[in-house]
Amino acid sequence: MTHRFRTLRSLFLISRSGTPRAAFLGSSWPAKMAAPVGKAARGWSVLALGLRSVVPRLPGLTQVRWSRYGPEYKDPQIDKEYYRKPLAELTEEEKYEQELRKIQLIKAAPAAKTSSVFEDPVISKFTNMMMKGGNKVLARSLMTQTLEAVKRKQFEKYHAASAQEQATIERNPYTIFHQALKNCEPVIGLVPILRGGHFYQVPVPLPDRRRRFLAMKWMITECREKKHRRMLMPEKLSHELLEAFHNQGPVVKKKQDMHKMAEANRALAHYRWW
Amino acid sequence: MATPSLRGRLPRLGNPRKPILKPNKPLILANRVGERRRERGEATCVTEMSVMMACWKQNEFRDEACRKEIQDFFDCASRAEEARKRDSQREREHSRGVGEEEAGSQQRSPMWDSSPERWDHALS
Repeated sequence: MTHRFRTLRSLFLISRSGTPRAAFLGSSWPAKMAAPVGKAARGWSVLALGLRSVVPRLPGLTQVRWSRYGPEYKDPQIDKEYYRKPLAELTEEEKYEQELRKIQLIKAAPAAKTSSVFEDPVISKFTNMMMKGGNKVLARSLMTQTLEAVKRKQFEKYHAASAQEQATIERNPYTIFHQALKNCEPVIGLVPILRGGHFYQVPVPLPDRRRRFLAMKWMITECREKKHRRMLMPEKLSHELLEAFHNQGPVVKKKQDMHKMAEANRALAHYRWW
Repeated sequence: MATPSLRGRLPRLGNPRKPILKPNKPLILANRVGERRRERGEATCVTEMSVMMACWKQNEFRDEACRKEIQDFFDCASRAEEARKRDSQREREHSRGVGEEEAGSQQRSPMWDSSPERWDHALS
């Protein structure tokens, strides 16, 4: 087993002691795993049977994350462009896939995902991370208020600035959001590796999704913990996003501290085995 | 050397002395040996990482100044990740596909194929 460190993939298992652990599986397997109990009742297709037999049963771990969908259910295609492509432009594979989708069983799309032009996966992910206790309505309203606050601040600056500076001021809150998060993403991460009875922080290249997650996590944590209690979240977040957009502020500093620690520990890079 | 003695070594009701051995599995020869353990790899992308860190040192850890080195590091990391995935896929297919035909291909040591006893087994 290569990756032991924090690979949250689709299969969620718990050990006998009850602490949740995540097991890493290959990417070819379906996103949601069905309950192993109701196998006979699900109406298995021949293809699905082949996939199921591959799943390794790790000793001491039981499956906890269920889905009411069997493995024969496919994920819905939210993207409108997929269906707008004219028939002549499709390859054989894509034509076959589209025909297949007419017959296959498809899961219902989640409520948070739409095919609207305003849909942004990064914004949705950030909203989910801000959400507490399943209160998506509150998280979403905070997100919209944050974007509005960012836009207001930028417009104030725009109207107060001279003609030359006006060209440089960015007013679209979505571009500011994306750029700010990109500026907060660390390039290299640190991982504790046990060697000779001691844990050493070893610099390690991070996958893209881990970097995006860390950027968002740091942003949210910074706003929640380090600011004054009476300040509202949209205010704090808009301030932090604007600072990160200009490569200043505590989140970018945290990223640079991570880089500095990695640089200090660069001799330990050979402790890695992957 | 003959098999070392097991007399009075295990914790049993008839054994008055303290046990010498406390085996966690039954002491019976199984029909298989353990699977080949994958050898530890070595750290990938170390050169790209050190080049990037040298650039950081010179430019006070600003990312805009080191774009090219960072991009090289990312490319190297993604290549290494793909290679790893391919290797694990190949190993999984190999163990699944070959295992059914030649049962115990991993159980035989490479020395067996060139040993004289193998020819005796083949003839008999």
